[in-house]
Order: sequence, then C-alpha cells, then structure tokens
Amino acid sequence: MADLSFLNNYRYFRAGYPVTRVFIENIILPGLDSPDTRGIKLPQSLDETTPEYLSKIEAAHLVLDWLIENENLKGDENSGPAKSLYDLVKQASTHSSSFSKFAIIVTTTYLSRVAKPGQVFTVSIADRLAEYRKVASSPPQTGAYNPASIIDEYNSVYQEILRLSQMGIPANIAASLIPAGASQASANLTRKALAKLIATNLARLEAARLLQPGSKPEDLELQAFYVTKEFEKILDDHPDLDGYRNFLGDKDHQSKLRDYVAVTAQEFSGGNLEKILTYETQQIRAAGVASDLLPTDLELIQKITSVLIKNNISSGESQEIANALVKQMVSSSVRPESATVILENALRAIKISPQNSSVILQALSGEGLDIALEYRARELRLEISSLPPSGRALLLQGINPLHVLKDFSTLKREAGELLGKNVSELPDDGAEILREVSAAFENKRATLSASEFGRYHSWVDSVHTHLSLTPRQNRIARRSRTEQALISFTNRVNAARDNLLDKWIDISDTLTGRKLFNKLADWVDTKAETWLVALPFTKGKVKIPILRPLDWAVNTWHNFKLGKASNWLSALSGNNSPLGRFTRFSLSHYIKGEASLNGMFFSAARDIWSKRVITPLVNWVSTKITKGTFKYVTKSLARTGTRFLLKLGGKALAKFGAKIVTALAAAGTFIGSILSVAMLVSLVFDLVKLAFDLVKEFLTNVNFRKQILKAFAIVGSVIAALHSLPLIAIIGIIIGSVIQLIILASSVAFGLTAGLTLFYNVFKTSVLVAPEYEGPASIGCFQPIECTNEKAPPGIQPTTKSPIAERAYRIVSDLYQGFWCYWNRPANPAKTQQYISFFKTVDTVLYADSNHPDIFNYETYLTTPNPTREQIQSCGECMYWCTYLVQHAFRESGNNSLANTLWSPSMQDDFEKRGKFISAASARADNVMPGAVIFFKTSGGPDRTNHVGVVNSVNEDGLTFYQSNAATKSGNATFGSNGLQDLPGIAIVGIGNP
Amino acid sequence: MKILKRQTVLFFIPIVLGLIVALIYFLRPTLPTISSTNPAGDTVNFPTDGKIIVSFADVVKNSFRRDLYVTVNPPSPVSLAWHENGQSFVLNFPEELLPDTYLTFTVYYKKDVIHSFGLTTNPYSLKEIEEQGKKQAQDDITFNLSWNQMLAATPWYNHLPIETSEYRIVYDYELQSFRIRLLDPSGEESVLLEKALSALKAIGVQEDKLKYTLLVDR
Repeated sequence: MADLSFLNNYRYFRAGYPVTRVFIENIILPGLDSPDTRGIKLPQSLDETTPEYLSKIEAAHLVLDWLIENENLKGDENSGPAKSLYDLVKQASTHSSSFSKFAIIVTTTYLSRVAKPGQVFTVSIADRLAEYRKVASSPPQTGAYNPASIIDEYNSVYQEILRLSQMGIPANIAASLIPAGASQASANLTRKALAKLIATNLARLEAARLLQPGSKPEDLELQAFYVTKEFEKILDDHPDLDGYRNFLGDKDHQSKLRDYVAVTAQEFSGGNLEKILTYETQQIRAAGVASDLLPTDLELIQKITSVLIKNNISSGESQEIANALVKQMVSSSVRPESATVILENALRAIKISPQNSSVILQALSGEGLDIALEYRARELRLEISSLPPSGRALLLQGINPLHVLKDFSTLKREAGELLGKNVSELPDDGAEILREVSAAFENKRATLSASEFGRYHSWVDSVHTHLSLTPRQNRIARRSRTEQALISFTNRVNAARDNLLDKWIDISDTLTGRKLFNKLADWVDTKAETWLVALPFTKGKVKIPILRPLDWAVNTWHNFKLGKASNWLSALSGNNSPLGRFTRFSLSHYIKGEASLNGMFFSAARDIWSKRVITPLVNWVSTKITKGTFKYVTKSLARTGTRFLLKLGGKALAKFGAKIVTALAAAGTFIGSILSVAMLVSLVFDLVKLAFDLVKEFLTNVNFRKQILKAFAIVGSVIAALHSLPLIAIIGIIIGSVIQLIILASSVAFGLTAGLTLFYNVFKTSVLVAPEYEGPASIGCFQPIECTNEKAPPGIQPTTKSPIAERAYRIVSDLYQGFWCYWNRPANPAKTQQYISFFKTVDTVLYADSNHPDIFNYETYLTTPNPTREQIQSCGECMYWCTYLVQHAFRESGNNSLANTLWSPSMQDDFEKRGKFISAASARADNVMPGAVIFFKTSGGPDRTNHVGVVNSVNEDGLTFYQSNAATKSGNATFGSNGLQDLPGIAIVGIGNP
Repeated sequence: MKILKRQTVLFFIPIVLGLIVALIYFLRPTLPTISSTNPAGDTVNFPTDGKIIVSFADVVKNSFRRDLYVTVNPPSPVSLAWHENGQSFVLNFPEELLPDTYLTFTVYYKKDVIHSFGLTTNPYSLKEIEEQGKKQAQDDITFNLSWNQMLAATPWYNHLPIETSEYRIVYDYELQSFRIRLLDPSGEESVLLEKALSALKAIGVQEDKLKYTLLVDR
C-alpha cells in the first residue's frame, strides 16, 4: 500500500470520510476528467466557505491504491495491469491531459465485472450458489483457497442485513414503501424483492447517502435525492422491478427510501461505517470467486455426460449433448436466457426429438447445472462489447472467444510453468498435456493459492476450447487474436497521437500571436457587420462593408450574374425553337454551375455524358470541345462573312467589313482583357481568402486541426511507401555516407510512423465493434448489446385522417430493433425463422401491405450489430433509414409528389422547390398538415438537415410525429412564440407539407 | 339532246364523286384511340427505372400493332411489349432514363401521331439514390447521438404530450416549463390542475423540478 499520509492535509479526510468506490466514481474520476487546474474540489458542508482541492496526482494515487487494495487491479508499478495505470499517472505529472485518459481507463475498469459486483453477483446468484453447493459433490477448493468459504462469509453478512432489514423499524418503513392499493400477495412479494435488492446493495446506497458532493449529515433532503438516484441505477439491472420507478419521483417516497437505507445500515453496523465498507469488500470478493466455485467447461461436460449415462443414454449421445449444451451456453450469452431455454435450444440444435428432450431435461434437473450455465453466460455477456468482429463470429459458433485469446504454444508454455517443466519435455498432444496438468493440479491441490487456482481454471478452459476447434474455427481464432493485438496496438498508437496533439494544443494555447490573432479576427468579424459605407447607385443606396469589400464585390457580381441568367431563362420559357432550347439548356446549366462558364460546361457534361464516359475523360473532352469549337466557329464565321461581303460589294466592302470585324475583335479583346484581369484579381483574392480562412480554421478549430494533422500523417505514409523502394540501397549507403544515412533513416522513420498511423486508421475502420469515441455526445451510441426481441407499439396512435400518417403508423408498428438497437428492422418472419438460434422468436407482421422485409441486411447484422460509421459507409439499403419511412408513407398512400430521394437534405430541397416547405419559425398549427414531413438537424452536427419524421397530429400546442431508425418510434414538438421550438440538442428545421 | 346529256353527266359527276369520297371516308381504317397511360401524363418524379403502361379504348388488331411505335424525346432506347389482352402495352426502358428530365412520349401509327404525353423523371438517378442512402446512414448516426442524449436528459419526453378530454400537457422549451392547457370548460380549475400534475408525476417528473404554465381554454 502506498504512503497516503497526504490525506491528513485535507479537512474532508481528517473528518473521517473514507475513500470508497462511490467517492472515487462520483468525485475523483469526474474531477480527473475536468480541465480545472486547481485540482479536485472535495465535498464540503454548506457552512464551510473555503473550498479545498485535492491535487490530481494525489487523487490518481488514491484510486490506484484503492484498486489494488480491493483486488480489482493486479500487479504493481513494474508489472501487470497496474503498470499501465502507473505509467499514465507518471505521464500525468508532466502533462495534464493524461489524467483524463487515466480516468477513462479506471472507469472502464469499474465497468468490468468485479468493480460492479451487482452485475455478476446478484441476489438470485447468491441464493442459487448455495443451492448448487448442496448438490455438487465436491465443490472445488485447495488447501489454501476455499471459494465456498468466501461466498459463505459474504452470505452470512448478507443474510444478517436481510434479517435486520425485515425487522423492527426498517420493516415498518419497508411496508410503507409498497404502493398503496397493491394486493396483499403482490405487496409481500414486492417488499421481499426490494428488501433483497437493498440488502445486496446496502454499502453502495449507504455510501451514496453520506458521501455525495455537497451533502452534510443534516441535509436529509439532499441525502434522499442521492439515495434515490443510486437506487435508480440499481434498478437498471432489474427490469422486473421497473414499475417501481414511478414512485421514485415522490419526495415522500425518497425520504422513506433514505430512512430505510440509513436505519438498516445503522442496525447492521451500529453506526460504524467501516463495517458497511467491509461488507462491500466481501461482496466484491464473492463476485470474484463465484466463477472459481463453478465447474470449468470441461468439468461441466463431464458432469452432464455422467448424469445422462446414469439415465440410460448412450455414452456417445451423452457426450454430444454435453458438448452442444456448452456451445449453446456460449452462443446464448448474447442475450440473458434461463438455463431451461439454453437446454431446450441445445437439444433442438442437435435435432433431439421433443419426447427425448423432456427425458433429458428431467435427467438434468436438480443437478445444480442451471446456475453454472446461467452464470457463465452472464460473465461472458459482460465481455461481449469489447470483442472484435471475429470474436463475435466465434461466439455464434459456440466458441468462447475469451478462451482463445492465447495461442496453443503460449498455453503449452504455461503448462510447462504449471508443471515446472521445459516445453520440450511436454508431449505434443494437447489432450495429453491436459491430463498431465490435471493430475499435477490434483497432487498440488493442498498448496495451491487463490491466484494459482484461478489460473489453472482459466488454463483448463482455454486448452479444452482449443482442442475442440475445427480448422475453420482455428482460423477465425487466429484472426481474432490478430485483431485483438491490433486493437491493443492501435489503442497505444491512438494514445500516443492524442498525447502529441494535446501537447501541440497546449503549446498553441500559450502563443501570444495566436491570442492576438483570435482577438483581431473576432474584432474584424464584429465590425464587418456594422461598418458599412452607403454609396448612391442607380436604384438607391448600396451599403458596402468597408472591412469586407472584396466579399461584397464577389457576392454582388455573383448575384448579378445569377439574377440576369434567371431572368433570361424565364423570358425564354416556352421558346421551343432549336436556338431557344439550346439557350435554355445552356442557361440552366450556367445557373447550376454557380454562374460560371466552367461550371456550366461541367454541369452539362455531367448531366449528359456522365453515364457514358468516365468523368475525367468527359472533363478533358469538354475542355477540348470548348476550345476547338470556339476556334472552328469563329474561323468559319469569318470565312463565310468574308465570302458574303465579297459577293455583295466586292473588295471595298470586304475591306470595310474586315475593319468592322477587326474593330469588334479589338473591342472584344479589350473587354475580354479587362474581364480576364478582373477574374485573375478575383482568383488571387479568393486564394488569399481561402488561405486566410484555412489558417483561421486551423488555429481556432481543434477538430479541423486534428484532421489536418491526420492528413499530414497520410502524406507521411505515402513518403514511407516511396522510401520503401530504395530500402536496399540505404543499406549500402550506410557504409558510404553517414550524413546521407541520417537524413534517409530519419525520413524513413518518420514515414514508417506515419505509415503505421495510417495503417492503424485503415485497420480501425474494419475491426472495431463500437463506434469511435467522439466526445460526450457519442456515449449514447454505445447501446446495450441486449436488445429486445419484442416489437414495441409506436407510442402514439394515428389521430388524424391523413392517409400518409396512417401509413407511417402501420409501417413503424412492424419495425423491430436492429442495428444499434434502433427501430430499423422491418418484420421478417422468414429470416428470423432461418436464424432462430440468434433471434429466438419469429417475427410477427401486423400490416403485411405496409411491411418492407427486404430492407435489412441480416448477414451484416449477425456479425456486426453495432457497426461503426466506417463500417456502415458502404451500406446503401441495409436498414430502414428515416427517409424510407417518409418515402413509403407518401407513395403507398398514393402521394407521388415527393421526389424519390433517400437523403434528408435532398428531400428538403424537393419540398422547397415545390413551395411546400415551411421553416420552423413560420410553422403554426394552421399551416402544418398531418402527413407532413418534419426536418431535424442536430446542434453539434453539420449545419443542415440530417433526419426526418412524418407528422401525425397537430394542435395549437404542438405536433406528434413518427420516425424510423431511432431509439423511439415517435416523438413530439411544441409550438412557441416563434414557431416550432427546438428540442434539447436538436433543432427543427421546418416542415414539408404533403 | 346532246345538251341534255351533257347537263345530266355534269349533274351526276359531283354526286358520284361525292359518293366515292364518302365511301372512301367511311371505309377507311379507324385509328386506335389511347384511353389512358399509367402513370398519367405530366406525372413528376417518374422513377428512372420505371415502366409505363399505355391502354387503348378497344382491342388493337394485330395488323395495326405492327405499325404502332413510340418515340421518346430526349431520345432514349425503349421497347414495347403488348399485353396478351391486346388492349395495352408496356414501355420498357433497357437503359436507365435521364434523371430530372421532361420526357415526351409520342405514339405513332405509321406516320400519324395518335397520342402524345410527357412526364418528368425523378431528380436523382438510381446510383445517386444509393449514395444518398449511404449519406443518410451517417446522418442518422449523428442524429441518434443527440436524440439519445435528449432522451437521457428528459426521460419523460416520450410520454408527452399527455392529452385527455380535460387537459393537454406539453413541454415548453422556451420557458423551460410544462405547459398545461385545461380543456374542459365545466371542470373545476384546481381539480383539473391537480389531475394534470399527478399525471406528470406519474411519468417520472420530479416535483421539485416541476415548473409549469397554466393555460385555460374557456
């Protein structure tokens, strides 16, 4: 344990407040993640006016100490998982951003199974482990380590708390926690369930009551609030008690909950908080050893086989059933399932008849196997989110990916260590090694420590899994290991890159020039809006911003060209002569091409030729045609004109005509020259402006800066590629020229680093399961892996007679959860039947005429249910996007006015073109129609529409709408003084009426 | 006599000629009439890979069918497949039609135009639509990050609006408070308000955070 004498420097710790998990989670970790350079503000009473700050280095050491003390973290400063955290803390002493990373890693550690014992060690698991030990003939233990006794220690304390919580004053409070009106039977059941839940989480709740920031003993209301908040988190893992949440908003109820926790804790510990903390430690240890108490996969198979043989089932068949059961247990870990369902699915998978199945189920009941099956599946489920794609592929085949993290040679080396032999002395056959190690383990059982026991358990599982791999599964396992190694490598590269960028940002923040530049830019931005010079013009005065005359000139010229072209185009409407059609065609492309000749040719070329010739060729041809045709036309015109003049009036006239042509040409040249110069000047200004904007963006926008630096990394990788060719030559150069060696080696080294970074980026796009972390907003993207199989109703009923809204209702009614657990999978009974082992239930269809079962890619979903942005980039119609809902609701209700587009900004364009778009500010109850399209944009995203829904009902207060590919199937918006109000973080762009 | 004969001949010549013309007119083959097209003329957003069904008022004889053809302007390859009932044909387009284009279809019998109609194709080609789907994929991800965050911050959001015959509740984001509108003119205001507040508590709104504005429609 580290020296923590610094705690005495703080009033808070001197007052006796201990360092607990709740304190670390709620005070230290958010504090480490905050940019406050003063340190972490410690909780203080309301009457204390001077705040005190714990230094971040000390806070990090407190966390490390706590993690090691509570067995969450193995190793020390020099080895094991603790080493990387120690390294981070060391880095943090020189660079503050490392604290943030440290906090993230520690948070992840908390989320791992042992830090949250409630996730793996629930009330029912504690009960059922006790049951299991009654039927298990010899619960595993060694001379020095007895997991059962640790569970017993915990259980005895837990039972004591449970007993106390149901007696005396706590029992009276508990009775009043049950909602009035509940029947006697359900009231008893609920009270028991609540009592068990609170008893299991008593340490957590009591810590929340006492140790939250700002709380002080006499502030009972605040305590009630924090206890309730913590209890709500606990309820997250107990959907069976979800209905109880409805009462937690009531202040009276919150107070009772606080009292119940406080009184039970007091009864239990007599006011001694340390006893509660000891209880928490026991619970964490119990969660850690539960796995050791249960049989390994191999033992499970042996046990099942022997039970079945005893029940007159042949040895071969028993073995097959046992293997299938373990495989099913692994693949079932995707969703929580009971042991009975796992058994039934396993028997179905190997085509055991229903009659035989019931015999087998009967034989296996009462053997205590259910807890083993469910607990192992639950443990694995908590790890799923960190698996690479091939890990998930293994999972679906019934192979535990965690068991193949090490290759067989590593396991063989470990066997040597377990046996105290050289690897060369071990047999080549895996099964033989397994037998040898098992025998040695039995011999050494009396002396094995807890860690050796745990290591043996894990080794046996891994070797057994390796032995059962088919060649194909072996290949996937190898890939999985490579992916895992690369993920870990990329994480390290990522950390190094971020570190570098952070350093640069820190340095750039201190640059005086940059501060002055920002101030100047802000000042110019402000003044540019107000410093205007009014100049008289033909149609009145024109206001020119004196700080931005060039912008004004460019915009005015651009608008003038656009305006003229639009006027000419409208004047030509209806003119169907060849010249009229040609001019219309040219003008329309001129407008599409941003009022420029280049744009016009490009637009026309794209429209006409893009499907026949590849784009670069078209551009080249159109450029040639432009030049060639111009020359040809002018030459032909000159030649024809000359001939015509000669015919008309002979040479004199011809000379006169030539003079006119020359004069015209000269005038044209003059005007053309002026225009060219103007264009050149404009171009130079544009380039300067672009450079200015880029520099400004680079200095002010962190993300942009990161992108640019990434781009440099890519350029570096190209250099690396170029340098790889003369690599052999470099070896020769080493001898000949030391200077050249240094230069080339440096560039290669730079290129190599950059190349690896690029490789990392490329690789990252293909292997990560969860989307990249993008700041606080992306937390919402990490959806729980356990989706519901149920088809939820849309939430709002169709209340209008709009056929579009009615259709939208029918469509969303038949949507199931798909990618990211959003409602984007149309019901598909055939597919869910085909993949029944994955989906467990077969989809049902309410409205077959509105259902679109084909718009979902099941193959992608089964392997990558939470794809990253990069992974979904190539996916045009793999799920039911929000725009599909609008398209289908419109078309299937007979409204074909809507352009067929799947992108919400294009959809908005279409409504705007047709004059059907109303901005959110102009939207009122009397101009928004049911069946309209509602357009959204997110505040943090690009400045344009990015999502759509279908309006269902409208009244003076607001509207409701349906949507697809979101976490809910419906939503609502409110009318305010200025049209439709924005939602938190989401702006409403407007409405497209049908 | 000669004069009489000549007069008689001159009298009958126009009559005979008239009869001949009338006979030619009545005995000429009748051109088939197109009764409808699907989609109808001037349709907009016609899919660039769509088909058009042209229906006739009567069954078209085989002899006529041979001389019926259709042109498309701007030119595009088109094939014509007769329905077995002989009363309609389908226009198929082997190549994808140009997007955002007004297409004129003219149905000819030999050199005679028997019908003409036009429609505007969808502004986007199939490839563009596919690309749009990919872009929407990215956009939906962005949107859902904010949507989920909003749901986490306002867990009661999806229970709104609450509407009964007595009151309607929405959330006013400008005022940062719930808007309770009493709708029942005969109800006691305090009773209705109490009911509305209970409804808000039932959806998990905490009392200390329950700010509201009361509107009464009477």
